[in-house]
Amino acid sequence: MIEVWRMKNDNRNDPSRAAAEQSTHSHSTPRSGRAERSAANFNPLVATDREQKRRAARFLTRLRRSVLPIGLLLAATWSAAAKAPSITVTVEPSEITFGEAAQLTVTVQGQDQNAPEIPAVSGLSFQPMGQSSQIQIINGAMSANISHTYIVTPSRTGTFTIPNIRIGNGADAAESQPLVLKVLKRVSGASAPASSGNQGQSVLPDPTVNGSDEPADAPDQTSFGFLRLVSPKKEFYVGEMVPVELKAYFRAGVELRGDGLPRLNSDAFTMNKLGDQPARSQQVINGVPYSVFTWSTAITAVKAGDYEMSVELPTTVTLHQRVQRPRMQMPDGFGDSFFDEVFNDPFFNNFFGTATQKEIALNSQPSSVKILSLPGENRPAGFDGAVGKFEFTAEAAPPQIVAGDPVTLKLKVTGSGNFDRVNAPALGKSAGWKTYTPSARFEAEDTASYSGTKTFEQALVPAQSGKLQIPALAFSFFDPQTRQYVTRTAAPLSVEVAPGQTASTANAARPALAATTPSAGTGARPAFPELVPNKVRAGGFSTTLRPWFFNPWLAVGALLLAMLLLFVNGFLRQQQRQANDPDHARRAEARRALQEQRRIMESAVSQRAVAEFFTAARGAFQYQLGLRWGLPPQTITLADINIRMNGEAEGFRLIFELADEVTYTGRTFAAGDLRKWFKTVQTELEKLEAR
Amino acid sequence: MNASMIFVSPLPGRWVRICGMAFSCVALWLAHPMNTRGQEADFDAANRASAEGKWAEAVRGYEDVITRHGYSAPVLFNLANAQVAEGKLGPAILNYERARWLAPNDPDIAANLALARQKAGLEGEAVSRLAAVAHCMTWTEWSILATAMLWLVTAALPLRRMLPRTRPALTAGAVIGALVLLAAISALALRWHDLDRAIVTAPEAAARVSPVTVVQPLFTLRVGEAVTIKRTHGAFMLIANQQGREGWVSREAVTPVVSAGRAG
Repeated sequence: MIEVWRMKNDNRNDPSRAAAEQSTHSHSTPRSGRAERSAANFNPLVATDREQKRRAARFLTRLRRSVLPIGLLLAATWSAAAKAPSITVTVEPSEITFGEAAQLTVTVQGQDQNAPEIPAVSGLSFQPMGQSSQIQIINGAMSANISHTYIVTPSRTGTFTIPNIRIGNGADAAESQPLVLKVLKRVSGASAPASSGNQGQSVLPDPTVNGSDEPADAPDQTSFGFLRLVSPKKEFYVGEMVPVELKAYFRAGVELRGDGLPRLNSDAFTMNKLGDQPARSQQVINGVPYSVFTWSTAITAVKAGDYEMSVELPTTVTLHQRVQRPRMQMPDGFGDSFFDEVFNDPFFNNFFGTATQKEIALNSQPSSVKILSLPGENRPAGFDGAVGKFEFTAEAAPPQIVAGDPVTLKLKVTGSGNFDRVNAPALGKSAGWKTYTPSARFEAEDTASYSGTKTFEQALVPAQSGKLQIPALAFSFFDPQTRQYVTRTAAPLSVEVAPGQTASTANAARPALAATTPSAGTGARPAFPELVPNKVRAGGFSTTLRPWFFNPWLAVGALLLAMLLLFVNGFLRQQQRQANDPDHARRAEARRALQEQRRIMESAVSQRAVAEFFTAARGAFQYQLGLRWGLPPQTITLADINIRMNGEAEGFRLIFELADEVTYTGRTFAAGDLRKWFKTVQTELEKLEAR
Repeated sequence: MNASMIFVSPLPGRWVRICGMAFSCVALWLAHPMNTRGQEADFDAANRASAEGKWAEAVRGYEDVITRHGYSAPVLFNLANAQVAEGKLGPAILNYERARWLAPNDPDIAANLALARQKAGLEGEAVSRLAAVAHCMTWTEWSILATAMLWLVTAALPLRRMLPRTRPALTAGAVIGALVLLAAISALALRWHDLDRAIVTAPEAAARVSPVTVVQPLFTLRVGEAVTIKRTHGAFMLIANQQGREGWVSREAVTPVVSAGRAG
């Protein structure tokens, strides 16, 4: 945000304008001689600007007085309905310190547009600064206001009475009320007045960075303004907050605009937020009137070391440049130089003129400061960075409660210092209390937030009934004046906790509870005291109120487990049943033996072991047939096969015969023949199994 | 497709999965206490506002706790207390009902619910002994019990075959489990209508004969009154009050105790 505040004056009666007027024109006002004294101090750019305005004003005056009779006629018609002249006088501020200046404004309403005569006041000097006018026509009634502005500069302290100011004569006369201006003695820490050399004008000391302690150069007489940082000290401790004043001096009559707020040109300090509306006053320094904008704030040292400190204010100054036109020559017939005066008036030149703006950064003079580290020795355990001078108190309310009701522990830290580093010396975890995070509130006593009271409120809920103690609480800080740490301790607090009610006894206890339970602290008791108090533990959280069984994944999971268990049970049941069945065991044994015979045959084929092959082949058929007929395999002979198979065993009866032949004759077979027989055996076994 | 694509070693992927699962477990384990601290901090802040008599701020705080962390009986109870203090009896009774749904045996909730109903001008609800037994546990607890008993019974069956020596004990356990399972299912059946329970949160809710606003109201429901939701149609709900009267009311006037849950 860019803060913009403007300062504009109509300088038709400005001393600079008067001086310029005297040097270039034959016209002169009674004030021009006084203004001439300070004419040499003015910036040429400013003078040009003022001259343009002055000429425009002169043109308007001539126009009003002698050129436009019709306008006068109309004005006379309007003035018939206008109000009687009146005068209003104000002085702002009404109380200043010696070395400062106040502004006197005389507002005249009505036909008398002349400047009033300011009465002389001993100890005060009045410096005319200009005038502004305002014309209003409301429902055909015209009213014109002219405000004359004066800088009032005291030459001593005291209470001054500015007498009534009178305008007009006879029935049209008007008179203001007397005003009182108090000029106070300047307190230490701020700028002290210096000797004056300019006819009663109070001349302030040259602006310095650190107040009156440090001399500095006088402000540049040709500059538009300057800055000052007024600090009461030049040696700080890390974390220490110091109230300071930032003063921006703008030369009166200069159209200067602040493009923001003053900035601190040092990373060793932080500065509190500046207010949007600085205090405004007038001062005359070395004969030059200034408008002074003052911000009261505080700076905080952040790191140790030796530093330079200054402030900067970005501004924009408006410079008016006139377009020089050739002077218009009128025919001789007009004789008078009136038209020549009119059309060659600077008003017209200004009308076609241009204004340029220039950005200027005003800087204060740098000042050397020293920032010391906080001492490490004797640093209290509870020290949390507070630097300043504080008092600490603690209180608990109410002193008597019912179990479950909260107690408000109020901790107050009062004094001056860096309150942003003042943390709550609150009660930590305690066996007898359920503690909550305290809240903090700071009430500043000044605009810099340097002095005030920081209040912490902590809610405590007793975990048991009886006489409970809140232990002594301590607050530690570093006092930069005494250069040592200080610990303030609050006395222990007692709270009587009556046994709490439960819902079973709530109904019976409600009337008594409502009658006897006072409000806790800041109204902790609910609006309906008969309600059972709040819970202090959040308990377990559930993402939904719906029963978990309505979650399809969980429901299917739960049922799947049950179904799996049922399946396991069924499987085991079948296993046990089979284990207890002899036929099943026999069949299983036969199948295992059959597989074994097949494996032997396969091995015999690869080894050309003819006898083993046919023995295994016969055994395989015996196991297969035994399984089918329910007979022991070893008892099955070729004769049984011939009888039982009824001619259906042609395919494998030869296997039995060859097995006997090989066994008894030692007949051999080629490897290829053996493989053919193996295929035949497998085919016949499959046929037999399929039957 | 070449051979290298077929015989890609599965080891990296497996290790990535294992590490991911381990990381997730550690993150969950670490997040739980932090989440708990956040719950307590938010709850404490709302409690502080309530203790200072800032009812609106307290209500916002408790609702924020519910939004961020979920439902909890103490949070709902304190929220209802703050709403009673604000004079919002309908929402207060709703939240007491929800708190009781989560903690049916909490006497504080029952006491404050009865008080809120009394302030709303409602009569007490008659509960049979059987229903009282069914309400001694939450719906979730009953369903967990039923599931556990189902698992016990179904596990006892194969165990009886695998451990013949413990067969008598397992048989007895299975029988007891089956009885408890039956009781739990009965309790759930008795409380089934609780899932359709709703509270009238709007004052003077009109019940109509059909789900349109142009017909004359049949009767008017009082704020905080408990009803049972029968059906829904558009912006209307067919409800039945405690006396058995049925009518269509606006959805905005009635808030279900359970189905309005976040997952609901």
